[in-house]
Amino acid sequence: MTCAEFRQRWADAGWGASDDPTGSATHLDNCPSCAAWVARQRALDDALATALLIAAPAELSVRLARIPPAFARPATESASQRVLGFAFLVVVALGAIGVSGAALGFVLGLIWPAAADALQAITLILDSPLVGYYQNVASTLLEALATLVLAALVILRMPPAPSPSEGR
Amino acid sequence: MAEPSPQLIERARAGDPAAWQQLIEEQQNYVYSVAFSLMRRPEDAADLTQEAFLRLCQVIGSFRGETRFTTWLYRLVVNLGLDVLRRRGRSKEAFLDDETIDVPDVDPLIDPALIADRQETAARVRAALNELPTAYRLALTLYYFQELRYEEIANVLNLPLNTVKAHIRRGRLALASRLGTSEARKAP
Repeated sequence: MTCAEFRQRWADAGWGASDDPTGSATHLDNCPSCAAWVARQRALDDALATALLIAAPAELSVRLARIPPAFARPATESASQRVLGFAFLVVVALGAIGVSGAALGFVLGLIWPAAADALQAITLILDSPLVGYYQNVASTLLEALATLVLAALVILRMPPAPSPSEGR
Repeated sequence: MAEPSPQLIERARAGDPAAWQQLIEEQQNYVYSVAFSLMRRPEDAADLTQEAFLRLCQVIGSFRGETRFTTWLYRLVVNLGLDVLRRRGRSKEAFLDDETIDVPDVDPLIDPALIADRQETAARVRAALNELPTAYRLALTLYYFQELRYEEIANVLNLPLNTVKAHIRRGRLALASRLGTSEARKAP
């Protein structure tokens, strides 16, 4: 293994690479140049790791502390759980519709005979001779009232009689 | 960094206020750092961090443990940040795919004096980082945070694995170069 190959492998390995990232410990042990190179890489890594972590400003920490956990949601279900949940909802909805329909039919079954009797009674009442009589009385009273209203209007709109002084 | 325990995540998912606060406290620096890598401006990074945690508490129930929680969380942060930047008129590709930088083909050398003062080093590295394209910064940030593997970074950034490797390699070289620690010494 050449030094160039060793350094390329070392760089490619990234973190998790220990002193022997790619089975090249032998080269490292026998190459002072690469040993020094690795030491310099680690010094650079150390400097970068120190510099790249920036402390959040105190003002930001205060803002973050105000974020309530109330937004937190429980873990969402898996896909199979969602399917099961949906199927359950469908069954419940269908059941509710069925129960509602049965209840409605039952109520209508109770109400309908009474409602039919009431409609028949209304028809009989309307067909009775007394209804015609009362209709005639009502129309006569209406006509009389209209006549009275017209007469009152005529009287109110008549011009007043001339006074005696106006005749001279 | 500490990956939150499954118990903590589960309690936070169930709405336990103490667990939720603990999760925020443990993760806020990392989320802010990712946000900062993407947004560059502290106020934008703070807004993105807050938005990310608000979003997290809405979607934490959908976390199934198929990846590390932090990988999942950083992906959420990156996606939200990219949405913000997209609304400002730049496509995702403009951030993550098309940026290239010229880096010297040399080995990065670190002067021991450079790491003697960590505070000064951090300031210098951050200044150098700020000059890097977004994709490089993001990849490096994720790489060094909790030692995310290349595959995980590719998953977070939704980029090909080789692109991620190239970003990290070139980003390291560029940083070393800009820190003035490079030496034109190629491998024999």
